[in-house]
Amino acid sequence: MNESLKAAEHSAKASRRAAEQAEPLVKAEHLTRYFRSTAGKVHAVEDVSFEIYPGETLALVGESGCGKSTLGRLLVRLLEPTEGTILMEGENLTRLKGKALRKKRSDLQIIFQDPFSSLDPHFTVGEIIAEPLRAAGYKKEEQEEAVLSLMERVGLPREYYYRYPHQFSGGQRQRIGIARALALNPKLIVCDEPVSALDVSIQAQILNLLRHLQRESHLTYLFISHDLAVVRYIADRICVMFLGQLCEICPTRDAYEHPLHPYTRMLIDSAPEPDPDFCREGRMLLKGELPSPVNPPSGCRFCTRCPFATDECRRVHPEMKDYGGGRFCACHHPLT
Amino acid sequence: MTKRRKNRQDHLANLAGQTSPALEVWRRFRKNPVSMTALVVLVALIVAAILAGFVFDYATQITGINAQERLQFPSASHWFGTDAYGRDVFMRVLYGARYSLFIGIVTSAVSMVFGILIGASCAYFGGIYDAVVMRIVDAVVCIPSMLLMLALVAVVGKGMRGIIIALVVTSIPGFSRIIRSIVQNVVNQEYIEAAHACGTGDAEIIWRHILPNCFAPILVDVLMNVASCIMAASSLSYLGMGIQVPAPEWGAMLSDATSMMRAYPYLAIFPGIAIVVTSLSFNLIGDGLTDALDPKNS
Repeated sequence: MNESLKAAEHSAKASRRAAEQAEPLVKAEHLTRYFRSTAGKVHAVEDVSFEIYPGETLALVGESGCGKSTLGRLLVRLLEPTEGTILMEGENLTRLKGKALRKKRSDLQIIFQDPFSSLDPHFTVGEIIAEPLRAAGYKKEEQEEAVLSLMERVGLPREYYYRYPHQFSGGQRQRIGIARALALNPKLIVCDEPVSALDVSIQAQILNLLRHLQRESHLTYLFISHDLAVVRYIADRICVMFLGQLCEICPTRDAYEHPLHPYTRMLIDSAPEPDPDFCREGRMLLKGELPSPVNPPSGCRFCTRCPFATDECRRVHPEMKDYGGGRFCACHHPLT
Repeated sequence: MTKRRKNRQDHLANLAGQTSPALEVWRRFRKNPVSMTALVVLVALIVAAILAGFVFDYATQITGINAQERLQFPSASHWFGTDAYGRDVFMRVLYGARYSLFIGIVTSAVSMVFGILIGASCAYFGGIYDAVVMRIVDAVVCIPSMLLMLALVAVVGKGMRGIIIALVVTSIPGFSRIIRSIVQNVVNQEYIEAAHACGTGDAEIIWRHILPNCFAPILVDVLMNVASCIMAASSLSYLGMGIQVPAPEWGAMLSDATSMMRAYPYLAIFPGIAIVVTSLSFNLIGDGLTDALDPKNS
């Protein structure tokens, strides 16, 4: 794809988003989830608020262990939030329980990272993809029709209907997982690192499939990833997460070109560059270890690793501020 | 099933050339010559054990005294020779399969039921319940099992009932532990999370996802346990705490033969071989099944 086409698509997406800006599909407010462990209370996700607009891909990036997957599982209600609310089109999902929740699950689906453990080895491909349909009470014949058309949509030959997951490669297994997630036409699909377990050549196929499906059916993705190249390719907006909290929310291009939060800058600068002649000077690289989520630093969570940290950063927790143009950042000393 | 659906299913099945999971397992199991041999031996033993009850007369042929034919070495008329009372050792060994197989299978089945109840409930509920039950299990496992069995037999009394109770009680803790870890392992798999995300109800998740995925490893474990129960039952009988002579229990026969082993070794060898072959076949079938059940081995 050449540059001008890319730019055109980018602006088209931006305008589409602008039109929809008024009505977020999902609104997370002050989401918090603690885990108990032998070491103490783990602050997995703390006071996280953001919005997801219909038809967009919102990427959630951050280092391993920063709470990305926990946040994704909170959104699809696989985990109960300790505090906070999730609103979907104005409806409070956090209050749903039992049968009402099971019904609502048709709107919330998830694609898992590991294409091996996320498919029941005793189920055939047909049974796996039919599971959400079965749970939603479709008749056998309807299930079969729907499964075959889903298999076609994700590029699986119909001959695979009676095969078992172990007979497939990682990429094809991930297609099965995608078909299962699509079965009930969900409003939101959380993609929990859907390509990080795959070969690079297969990654591109699956990413293209996800993009194609999005265009075809106006899907909304929360795309969890630690691979910045993948995120740049697929995301409209980015949420940067550090140690259970959000640092920055902005359109993808802004995150790469002029990030506001030092952590965003460092994350992007520390990504490997395929060009051997690339000059590493002027790059900000991440130093130090991730602080423990059991005893997070007071004030700004990033202060122990931030080159610009001041006393204020160590004492006062920075609030998320609006910098215009869809850019939000929680930092006392943002980069400009 | 409507006819149309049936046709369609046949059509799709033909396209894929697939068979049911059980058939797949059988196909893989069949390829393993060692476990197939073990299976044939075991089936032959079971058939022999059942037939032995009808063919032989217990009072005269199995336990009756026949002084003229005592202590004959193996020959064409007495394949395994005769013992000090002139009883045919071959018939006694065959008849003895009834005791060993019955004890092994019944105790394993009963302790499996208890093991599933205890292990699965621990894996589901977790928390304090799990901690307390598992500490009790740990404590019981610490007691040497032979000592525990002897103590139990001393309380309950010798004989079939005593052996079965002793073996069940000593098998339960190990079973509970293993089944707990099997269930826990399955519950933590992502496909269970995926099933929740699909909106599948709890009962259906247990029935359609958890049980089928636990079944295979539990079955393997039960087979292995049958083998060790057979050994333990024979040990108890050898020590005089189990099935009592003149009943042709293999352990009891061994015990009888001990004093004459130098002059008449065949008296000890044949029941000994019977014990080894039986428990070995259960073990080998268990091994073969482990491999056959692993879908990766196709």
